[in-house]
Amino acid sequence: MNTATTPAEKSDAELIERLKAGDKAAIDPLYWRYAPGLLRIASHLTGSFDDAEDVVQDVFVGLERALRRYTEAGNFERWLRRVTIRVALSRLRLSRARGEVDLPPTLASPLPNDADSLPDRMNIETAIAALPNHLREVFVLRELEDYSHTEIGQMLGIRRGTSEVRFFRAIRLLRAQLKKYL
Amino acid sequence: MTIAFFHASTRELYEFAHGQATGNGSLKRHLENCARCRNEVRALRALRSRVSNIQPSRPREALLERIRDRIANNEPMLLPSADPSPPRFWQTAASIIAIVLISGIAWAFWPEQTAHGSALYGELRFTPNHLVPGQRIAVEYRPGSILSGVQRVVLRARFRTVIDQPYNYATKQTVATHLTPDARGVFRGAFIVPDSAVYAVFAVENEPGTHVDHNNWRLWDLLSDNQSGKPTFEALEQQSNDLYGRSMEEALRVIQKRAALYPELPQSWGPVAGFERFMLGEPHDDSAATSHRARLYKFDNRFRQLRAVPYDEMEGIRSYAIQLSDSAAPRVREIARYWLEREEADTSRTIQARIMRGFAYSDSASANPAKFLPALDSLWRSDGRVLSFLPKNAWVFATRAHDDRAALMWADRYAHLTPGFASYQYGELLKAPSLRDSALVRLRGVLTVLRTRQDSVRPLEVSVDEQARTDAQSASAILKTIGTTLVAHGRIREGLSALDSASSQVWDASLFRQIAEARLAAGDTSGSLPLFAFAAADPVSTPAFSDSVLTRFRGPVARLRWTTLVDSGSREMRKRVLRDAISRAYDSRAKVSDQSGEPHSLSQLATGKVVVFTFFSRYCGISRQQQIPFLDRLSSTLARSGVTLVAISPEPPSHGLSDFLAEKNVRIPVYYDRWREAGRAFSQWGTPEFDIVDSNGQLRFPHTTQAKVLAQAAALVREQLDR
Repeated sequence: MNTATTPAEKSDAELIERLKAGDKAAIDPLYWRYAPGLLRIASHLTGSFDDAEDVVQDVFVGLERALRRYTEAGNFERWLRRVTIRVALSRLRLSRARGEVDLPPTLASPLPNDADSLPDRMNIETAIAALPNHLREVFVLRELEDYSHTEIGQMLGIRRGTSEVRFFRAIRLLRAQLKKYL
Repeated sequence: MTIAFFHASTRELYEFAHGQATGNGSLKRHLENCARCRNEVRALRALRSRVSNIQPSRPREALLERIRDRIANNEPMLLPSADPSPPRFWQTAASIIAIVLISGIAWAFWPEQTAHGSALYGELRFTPNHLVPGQRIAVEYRPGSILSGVQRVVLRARFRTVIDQPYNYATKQTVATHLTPDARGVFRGAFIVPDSAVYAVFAVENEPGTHVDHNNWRLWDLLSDNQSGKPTFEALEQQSNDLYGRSMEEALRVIQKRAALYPELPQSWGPVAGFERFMLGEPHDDSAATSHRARLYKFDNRFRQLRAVPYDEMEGIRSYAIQLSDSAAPRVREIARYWLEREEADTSRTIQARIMRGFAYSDSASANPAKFLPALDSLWRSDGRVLSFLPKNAWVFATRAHDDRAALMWADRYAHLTPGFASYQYGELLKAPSLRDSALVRLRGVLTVLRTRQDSVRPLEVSVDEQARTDAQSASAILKTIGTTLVAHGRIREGLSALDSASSQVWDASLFRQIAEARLAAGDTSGSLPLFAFAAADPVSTPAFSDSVLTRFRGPVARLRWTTLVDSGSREMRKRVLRDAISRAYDSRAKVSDQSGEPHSLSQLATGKVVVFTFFSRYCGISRQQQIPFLDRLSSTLARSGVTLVAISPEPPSHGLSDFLAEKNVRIPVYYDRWREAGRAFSQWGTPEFDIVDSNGQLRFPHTTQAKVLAQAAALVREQLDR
């Protein structure tokens, strides 16, 4: 149990103003409020909890400066999630450039026969993490984050049609992997 | 009449499942008649339901601490402000045309020798990029600047088979092939995969072996695949075995990846549990224990019902239970006992079965070595191929049983298997008078081997020159052992000659002192004095040592001459010690906490000073006996030269640990590496561990030893002063 500031005490707008004014302590409540969701999306995008922590770390470290570009016209949480997605995607690009290898595109071996009795979370998250990066990105953004294919295309620098094709390829791979489970 | 029957596409079914299909009457009709597609719709709905149930992740306080720390340090972090532009059709078309044009021009005008940009390391590609025994693999290498301008390069490899053990003490290196450049400067060649290789790791070097491209220490590797392109379980096992001691972080990743690829195999999970506890620390272990136990129970339930269970699965469940056996759950221990009994009743001959039986037999022999030694010999003759641990164990048992003949025989077998340990074993055999001459002969044999270039035992990352330095240090240690033995048994001249050779290249205060005493005893006063001065220059020597030498040499030695000799020794120490130093960055942002829980980054603990970081554990015998009781003294000795000692415990603070440290008279501040951040920063995987950082924050002596720390730290201080 952490002893952080209770998130409900201050509004986003108030905390953002404090942070913009140089009050670094405002990071804490924002962290406890949004880090869980950001870690979730970052870990699914990168396929690694360690990488996700690095992503979230970078987001909060760079938040004060990034807020200079933030206008209150939009929803702060959605903006923050979008920033996190960009950082996670940059990290993935970087790891590809360094020659780090994705897991194989198919997990030929299905999950255990008694997969029904295994925790849901492990099955589905393991299967998502095992998707190739380019399919996982689209799947996570569409299915977990509910972005449209047009928005995903913008984020990934691909066309809408490409996003759709990748999404259904991801669905087919997940179906094959979780065949006995779904 | 035949009716063509097509199933609906994934897209159609997905849209239908989620109410996005509009006016698709024909799909509805199809679904009424097609059970497979109806089942698919149900599954797609279930998939979405499972996805929507994924819970947010729990953030850690430690992560927030690191964020606060980076913000407090005003670390610049620019977040990406925009998404990349989506490609438009004309852009795509123009890009394709440009690529074709540029490729054509490049093909026509590519220089014959290319430096390939400014990257230090090159690119290595294999076709195909997996191992199949007996198959030809084509190799392409584009050199980085480390190998630019060479005419021919060598591809060195370490091939591993399913019986190879963790670490690379016993594995051998070989030349896979030579690569020659084509007209565009790309080096090409090919090799045939040896039979039974399931994993291979590679480096590229120039022909003399003086420059090595080790891919920034990561090397390159190939794994065997199964028919569907998934790396085999055995290949991943060997990949993690190979990474032991090279990068435990990477080894953990491989073990986790293997569990993701083979979740249905119990043998995937024991190493995950063990490694995670070891690498990620106790708090992680606490949080992961529940899910590990749940998984263990499911494996146990599933396999216990089966009459025939493969040995590897039995051992997988048993070792998983052993990894979790410190849990309070009695069921875990019951599972371990149950599967041990089933293993003992099993008679199969898998590699794992043979290894485990060998272990069990070796354990029995430990209780009564004299009785079991002949049986261990038979076991080695029948199953030695997979029992690489046996010679070491049997050698210990033979020594314990005072069976000299057996001790020598097992030492020879162990030395053959792991040449790197040969000198230690033969050195131990010197203690038995009846084996002394045999051991001396063998030690000289090891020296001869060390003086010959032995590429098969040279690690892939290491150049010929670096290996020569390591070999020189090993040779020096052996000569010291030989010389000491000879002097002790009256063969003074022969012994001194060996000791002189031993001391010519290395810095070893105790050796200098030993030779000086031997020379003095033999009446060679002038020859002993400079060596006493070398010993006095080492920070391990106290002022009282200098005084005692001056007292002994009262007549001939004036204080001024002595001071000059010691100063010369100090310069020599710097020269010899720094010859083995490296200089590289480490993750100084990693944090440890003090007794009150206050976090400190390693950079905060090492600002502008030479710092010795040391890791200790009360559960490690060597640490308990040879390191912890001397921490305070080491700290005060280092402090005299302006060097700080930072003592780190991987174990979190507790009353038990505090009581233990008080009992051992440890009064210096101790830091706690609860999240293993510092351990990872130094790739620490055992205790005692010593790492020295210089005043510029560069790691200079990683994984050094307690015996060398004082001289190495002093040499760095002297370097700093001389700048």
